[in-house]
Parts: sequence; C-alpha cells; structure tokens
Amino acid sequence: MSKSDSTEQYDAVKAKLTQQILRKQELDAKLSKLEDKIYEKENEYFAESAHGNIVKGFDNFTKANTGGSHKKRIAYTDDDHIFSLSSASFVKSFARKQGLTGKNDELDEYEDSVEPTNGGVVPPGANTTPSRKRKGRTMDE
Amino acid sequence: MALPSTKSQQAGGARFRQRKISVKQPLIIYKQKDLPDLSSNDLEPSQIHHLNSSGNAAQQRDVHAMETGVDKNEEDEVHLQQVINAAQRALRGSEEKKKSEINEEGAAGSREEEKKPDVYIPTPDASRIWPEASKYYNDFTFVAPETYIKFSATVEDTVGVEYNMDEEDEEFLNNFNKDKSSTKVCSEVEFEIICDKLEKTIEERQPFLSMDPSNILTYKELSGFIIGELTSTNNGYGNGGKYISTTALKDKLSKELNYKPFVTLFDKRTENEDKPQPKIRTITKLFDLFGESIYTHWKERKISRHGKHIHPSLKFEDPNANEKENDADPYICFRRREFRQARKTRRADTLGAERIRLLQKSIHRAQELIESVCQREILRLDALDAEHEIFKLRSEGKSLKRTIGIKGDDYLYYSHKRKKPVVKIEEEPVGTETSTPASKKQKKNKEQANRDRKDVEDAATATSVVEGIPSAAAAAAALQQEAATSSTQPYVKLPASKIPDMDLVTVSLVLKEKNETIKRAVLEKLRKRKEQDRHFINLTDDPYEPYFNITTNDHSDKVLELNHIPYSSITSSFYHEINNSNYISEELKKLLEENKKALPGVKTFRGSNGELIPSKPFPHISSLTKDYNGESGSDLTNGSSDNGYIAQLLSNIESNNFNAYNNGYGSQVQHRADESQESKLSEPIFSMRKRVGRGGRLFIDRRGLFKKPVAPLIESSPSVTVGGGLGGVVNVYDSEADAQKRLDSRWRFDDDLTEYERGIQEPFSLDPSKLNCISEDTQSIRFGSMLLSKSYDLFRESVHQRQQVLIQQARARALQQQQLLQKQQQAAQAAQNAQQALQLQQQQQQAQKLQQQQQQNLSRQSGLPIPSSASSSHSQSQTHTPSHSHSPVTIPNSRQLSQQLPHGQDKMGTSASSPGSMGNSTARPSAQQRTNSNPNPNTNIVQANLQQQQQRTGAHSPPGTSQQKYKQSNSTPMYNNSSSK
Repeated sequence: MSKSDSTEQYDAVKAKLTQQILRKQELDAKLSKLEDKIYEKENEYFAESAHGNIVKGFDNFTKANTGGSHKKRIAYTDDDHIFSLSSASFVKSFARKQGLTGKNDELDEYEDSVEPTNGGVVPPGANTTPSRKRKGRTMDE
Repeated sequence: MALPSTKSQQAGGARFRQRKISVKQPLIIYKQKDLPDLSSNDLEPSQIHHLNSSGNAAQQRDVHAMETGVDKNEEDEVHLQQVINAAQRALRGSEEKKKSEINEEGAAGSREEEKKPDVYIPTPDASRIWPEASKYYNDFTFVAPETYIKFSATVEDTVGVEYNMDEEDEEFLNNFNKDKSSTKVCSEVEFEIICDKLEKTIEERQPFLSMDPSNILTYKELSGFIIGELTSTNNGYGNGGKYISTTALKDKLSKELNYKPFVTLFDKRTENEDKPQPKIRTITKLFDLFGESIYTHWKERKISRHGKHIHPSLKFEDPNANEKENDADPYICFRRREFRQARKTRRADTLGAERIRLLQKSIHRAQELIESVCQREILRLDALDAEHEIFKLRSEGKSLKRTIGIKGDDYLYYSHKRKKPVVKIEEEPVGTETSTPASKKQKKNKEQANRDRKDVEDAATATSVVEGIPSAAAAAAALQQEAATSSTQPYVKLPASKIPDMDLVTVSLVLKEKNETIKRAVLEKLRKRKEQDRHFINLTDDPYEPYFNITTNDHSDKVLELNHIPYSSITSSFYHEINNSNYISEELKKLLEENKKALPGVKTFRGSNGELIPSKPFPHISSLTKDYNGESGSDLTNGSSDNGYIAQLLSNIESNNFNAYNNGYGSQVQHRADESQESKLSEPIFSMRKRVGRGGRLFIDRRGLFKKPVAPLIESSPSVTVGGGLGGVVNVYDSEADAQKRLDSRWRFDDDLTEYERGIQEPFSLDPSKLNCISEDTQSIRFGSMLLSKSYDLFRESVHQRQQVLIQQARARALQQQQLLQKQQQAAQAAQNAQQALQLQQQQQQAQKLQQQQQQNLSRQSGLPIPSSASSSHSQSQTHTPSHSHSPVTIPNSRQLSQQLPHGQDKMGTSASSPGSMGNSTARPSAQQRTNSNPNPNTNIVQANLQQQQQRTGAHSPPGTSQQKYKQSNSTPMYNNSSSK
C-alpha cells in the first residue's frame, strides 16, 4: 500500500466522514424539530380533548354530561405524554429545557461537527485524543 | 299509562299490545265455554285462537291475536295468507297425527311433510353472482376509504347524461357512423349527450307533446333554443330557477372557471389515464356536426313513443290526480304510505352524534400523533445509523492517519462541546435560561441549594414526599426562579403527586416575609396618615413627655412664684428634672465619700430595745457609688445642682426641717441659688420657626439674635427742657422718655424674650386665663386644673359649712333633749312626791320631807345636779316601788346619749368635736341649774303632761314604763340626727 494511495484513501474517508457528520447533524436537527412538534401537538391534543383522549380513555364520552358547568379538567402529568416523552433524546432535551441536569448530562454537551471549535484554534493537546472523548466513548459503548 | 279497555277496543284496527296488569284495568275473565278446546296443552292460548280461526266466535279476535310481522294492510297478501293457512293445516294435521299416531304409527307423517314446501312467500333470489359485473363496473381507481362514505349526491348527479342508448339507437348510430372518417364519427357518449339535450329541451318547450306528437318542434327551432340557451348562460346564473342538468352545470362551471376538463369527485375516472380519452366535443359543435340527422332519428322515436320520454322513466303518483286514480294505476311506483310524522331530532340525538364526531376527531389526532412518532423513530434509527457510520469512518480514518502519519483534522474525530444552543422559550417562564456552562453551574448551585433546603425541610417536617420523584424535583427546580420573585408562597401540605406545582419555602423565610409585609403596611399607613395631616400642625404636647426646658434651668431663681413647686408635678418636672434623675449632690457625695457619718434621715432599729438610732455608715456604700461620683463630678459642672430638689430634700431631712411642706419649696431654693451660680447654659443664639400663614404665605419667625436695644434711659430731669424757661413743657420730639416709649411700643409684640423673661417683666398679665410665669404650652392645662382645684376648694368649703350647720342643729337638739329629760325627771319626782304624799301621808310624811330637803340641800352644796337627782330617784325606788327600779339607769343612759352626740360628730370632723362637747358640758349645768332653781313652778305642768301620756298609753300602765317610753322616743331622733350627718 503506497503512501499516496493511503492518503487518497484517507481523503476519501475524511470526505465521507464530513458528509456523514453533516448528515447526522441534519438528522439530529430534524429529529429534535419533530420531537418538539410532537410535544406541541400532543399538548394541543390534550388541551382540546375535553371528554377524554386515547391516553386518558374515552369514558366520558358515554356519560351524559348535562351539567356542563363543573367540567373537570383532566390533569396531565409527564407520564401522560406517551407520544413525546417516549423518546429518550427528547426526555433529555426536555429536562434541559426545564432547567434540570441529569446524571450523564455532560455527555449531551458534545456533538459532532465538521468545523473546528473555538474559532479554528486547535484545542490543547490536539495531537492526543482528548480524554473527554475517551470517556464519552466508553459511556457510549 | 294504560288506556282504558273500552278505548282500546274502540280503536278497531289497532293491535293488541301487551299491557301491564293494573288496578285500573278490568281483567277479562274467560270461561270454559269462551275458550276453544284445549285439548293440546302444549300450545299457547294465542296459538289456539289462531287454530280456531275457522270458528265463528274467535274469528274477530283472531287477527289481533296473531303476529304476522307485516303491516296491517298487508296481512291480506296472498302468499302470506297461503302460508298462514298452510301452518294451520299443518298444526291441525299434527293434531290429527297425534290421534292417528295411535292408529297408524306415523305412516301419515311422511305424507304431511311432503305437502309442506308447496307454499312459501316468494323472495328475490340474492344468492347468484353476476359474472359480468367487472365488465361494466370497471372503475378500479376507486379505493375504499377507511371511514364510511359520506354521500349526499343523487344518483342522477353522478351517472352523467341521463339519456341511455338502447338497441334502436345503437343500430342507428352504427349506420350513421358507417361511412365516416374517424374524426367525423359520433361516439356513443356524444350521441347520448345530443339526445339528452333534445329531450330536455323538448320537455321544457313542449310539456304537453303527448297530446299531439305530430306538432313537435322542428330542428331549427330546437337547435335555436339550445344554442341560444347555451350562449345566454354567460350572462347571469339565469334559467329562472329552472332545473339545470348536471352536464349543463358542469359546462357552465368549466366555462366560468376557465378550467377545462371539469371533473368532479363524482365523475367516473377512467381506468387508464394514459390512454387518450376520445375527446367529447362541445354541444354546439356536436349539434353542428350531427344535430340534424340525430334529430330526425330522435323525432321518429319520439313520435312513435307518442311524445313521451324515449327513455322509459318511472311513474310516480300524480299529486294532482285524486287518490282513487292513483290507487288504480298499477304502474305507479313508490306509492306514498300512511303519513308518518318524521321523528324530530332531539338534543340527545345530536349530543350523541356530536360525541361520535368528537371521538372520531380525537382518534384521528391520535393517529396523526402515532404516525409522527413512527416518523420520529425512523429518523432516530437513521440518526443512529449515521452515528454508527461516523464511528466506523472515524476508526477507519484514524487507522489510516496513523499509518500515513497525517496530523490535523482532529476536530473531525471527536465530539465538540455544544455551541450555545439557543433554547426556545417554553410556555413556562423558566425557559429564558440557556444551557451555557455558566448558567449550568448556576443551575447546579441552585439545585444544590435546593437540595440542601429540601433536606432541611425533610428533616423538619419529617416528610419524604420530595424525594424520589424526578419530575417533581425538576418542576421545583424550574420554579425556583419564579419563587424568588413571587411575594408569598402558600404554605400548604400536599400529597406527593401535587407537590411539583410549587416551591417549598422555609418557615424562616415565610416569617421574614410576613414581618416585612407588616412593616411595609405600617409604613404605608404612616405615609398615608402624613398625607392626610398635611398642613396641620400638632400643637398638643405629648402627654407622656412633660414639658422640660433645659435651657431655662438657670432661670429657676428668677421665677417669682415658687411656693407651688412641691405640689405641682409639672413644675417639679420643670425645675428638677435634672436633679432628681440619678444626681447626687456635692454634699451627699462628700458624705458618701467620707463614709463616717450616718446617712441623714436613715435610721435603724437597735436590736436590744427597739430604739431608733441613726444608722451607721455602710462601709461599701462609697465603693458602690464611686463610679457614679466620679462621673457626676466631671459631667455635671452645673452649679445649680446644689440646689437640686433631691439635695434640698435630703438636707431638709437631715436638719429635720419640714418647712418646705408648709411654706413651699421655692424659698429654700432661692437661698442657695444665688450662691451657687457658677456656670450657666447659654441660651440658643437664635431660633427659627417656619409657619404657613393665611393664603399659603410662608413666614419665618426669628427669635434671638436681635435684642431690644437697651437704651440708657436718661430721663433728663432738667437738662432736656427745651425752650428755656417757657412753661417747662417738653417738646414731644425731643423728649427722650417719649422716644423710649415709642421704641418700647415697637418691641411690644416683637420681643425675643422667653416665657420667663417676659414673666419677670410682666408678672401679671391681662389675660385672665394666663397664669404668670408659666409656659404657654401647659397654660391651658394649668388653667383648667386651677379652675378645678378652685371649684374643689369652694366645694369643700361649702361642705364644711354645711357640716357645721348640721352639727349646730344636732347640738341644739341634744340640748333640748337634755332639758326635756331633766324636766321629766323633775316631773316624775313631783308626781312621786304627790303620790307618796297621798299614799304615805300618815306613815312617812315627816321622814320624806326631811329626806327631800336633805337631798336638795346636798345637791346644792355639791353642785352636781345629776347624781343628786339620781340618788333621789334611786333612794325612792329602793325604798318604795319595785317598778321604779330601772329609773336610776335612765339617767346614766341619757348621759351616755349626750356624750354619744359629740362622738358621732367626731366621725364627721374633729374640729366639730371640741365645741360640741363644750356646748354639751356647758348646756347641762344650765339646765340643771334651771331645774334645781325652780322645781316647784314646773311640777304642775309636768304632771299634766304625764297624765296626758298616761291616758294615751293606757291608764293601768305604771308610770315607770311610760317614762321609759318617753325616753325611747326621745332617743331615736337623736340617733337619726347623728346618722343623717
């Protein structure tokens, strides 16, 4: 295997990697957007279903609700968000939005990107793999 | 409720309904003869009725008893009747069979069964399948929807042109198209369109064509109408509410909307859209091309049909024709049945429908949600795949990098720290937080604090509700910020599931907030009060702070009236506030320091005999007062301390000089004041006062700084005379005295003198309410109290006077009594004398006379009248009658009474006692003297009195008792007198 060959190969891999990372980013963005949308939709669904919904059951539909004055508002907890909060990634981001940090929250602080961080400045100890990442890896696996 | 039986019977055709048995409903009792033969026990009564339909009695009710399951007027239907009769026969047959069974053993049974299938109600056969259906119904584009199909269009709306070709038309068309180029061929659809148009128009134009079919419109006329109608549709929606066929409507709409292939949802879509559909030409063009030839064909057919529709149509009831005609016509279909009221839709129905709609909506939404969740999962899978791909690429790239030894591009190989993701603002106000590291740290801290606090609270309230619920904790943490800004949190205890809605607050915080709220409220109240009291000046003294003028302390010597000091708390506070507050005078100080002499006025009991001796000095007293002495020595250089009230008091005690209490305190103070004026407090140089005058003008009053110029009053006696010896009249303008006067007048109301100075200058003011030398602040109080004390004095005086008067009266009465008593005694003596004289004239006349004389002589000699009388009566009682034994007691009694009077008066006032007693003592001898001096002239009168009394009390009563009574009656008013006082 000649050096030029492997360099070429490396370049190809690099290009692929970059592409893949970008794709991943796009997917992540899409995913989070969709998750947000689901949450929003879900809330809307809960808000608009006065008589019950697929989560709480449709019992109230059969009841003749003549005295409409004291309509009990159904209380929803986090457990009722079966659609939105069934995604682990959204649970995390949700918690973050609520100002809460989880146990492994530091891992979520990192994401893959194609641009070098810190405005192009090579991070300290650039030659070596940052310990942080190693830690992350172990946790991922 | 149940209808009365009569009515139900009247209802004629009305069917029997099973009704509940009720008290109101008479029950029909059937007797044996009424009922049919009940040979078969296994049959229901109704069935038996039915079986006896041939019987005459049961015939009428027979119809009602049987349930056929069809409408009443259809019960007579042939097939139904056949079936019913067959059933009857069958039942009867079974009866017969039963009977015959015994004889024939079921041989006939088979025969019966063979008969059965003969009669049946014919029903259309729905079992067959039409194999050619797919040939004609070939719209495969149709996809059955998930839900039910909702459809409101009529069949006519959806089938396109109403005209359908038949065999004749087909034949004609085939002939027509035989020798024509492909472009000029008239398609079947086009033919139908043209025919339909012709039919519609002729129906419109000649509705009664059937009367005379030969009179049909010519092609020209018809085509003219048709074309004209089509062109005229441009302007307005026209047609005057006439029916527009669906095709016409579609044409119109496509024209108006300028949208060519006007296909609605209901239009049949072709199987294959790729195939070029033979284009349908417009009606006008079609008429141009084939109109005339088709018209001839159509006309032929129309005439052959006698002007009626070529295409057979259903015949409906003619609403104008009478009922009989309609009934008679067998071709009428869909006849109207009895009018049935349409069921009104009620609220319950709509509610149910509404609910169902809602349910459908809800499920749709849920479905949407589930779909998006599926999408999310797919995306997530993609993302994970991508990550895996990245991982693989990275490991590959890394190994390559190592082998080649390339450096750089490291950033591609590890995750980077997230760049400030801008978190969207949530519904909750917490959302403003960003997850930057800094804020993260803050958050962490906050959380830590929160947790700490929670721990504390848990320990305190012993509730473990907060722990273990991440969502609860999350919410609590999220609401932390809010809690900081909010005023007060409700202090409630909730079940664990409901806690997240609020933040937990410590008791101390709550209390602190409460305190602050109260403080704020009070301040607010004060502020409001101030606002209200604006422009008001409070002139009243604080009653708990007596007027205390430090600066005028050194004027105490100048005050003119000092006698009242010990009595007035106000003045004492005024003059001696400094001195009586922990101040020890020099003398006392010295005394204490020396510690040799006993403290003045302090005495101790001697243990041995209880004698009071001056107490010995305490050895530790100086040490106790040492600090204070040193302090007082340095602090109070005020010389006037010497003549302090306490010091004076102490010295007074020492010298046993209690003059101050009698003569007032001032005189003593004055003595020393002159001696000990070493230092004075300076008066304030000047003082200002701001006040708002009338019209909002602002005044600033000044006091001090300017003194009235003390012009040397050089009242020139001789030197000022002007004008030589001219009469000695001094010119007004030259007179210095006058100038002085004028100057004085100028300062009259504008002096800076203090109250004291002014008081000294003018001790007696003209204002009657104004007390001299007393500050104005307390003037009114003093005046009031003065008036009070004055009135009290007056009151006291008047009371005293009244007392005196009463005492005088009492005294006078006592005197009178005594006199009376003496008189009585004398009278009694006289009476006794008389009696004795009468009774014992012979026995003791001589001796008695002697005795009396001796007694009188004795009393005269001794000067003591009462003992004498007493002794005389005593001797008498002793000697003569036992009833008189009590008489000697009376006299001491009377004395006691007389002595009691002053005693009673003593209670009133001691001053009255001595003159009272004196009067008594003086009055007695005089009375005695009187009685003694001239006893004889009085005796007669007394006797008469006595007789009268004896008559009153009873003649038989002894004189002694009457006397007693007399005394008693006398004694009572005296007591009354004394008590009334």
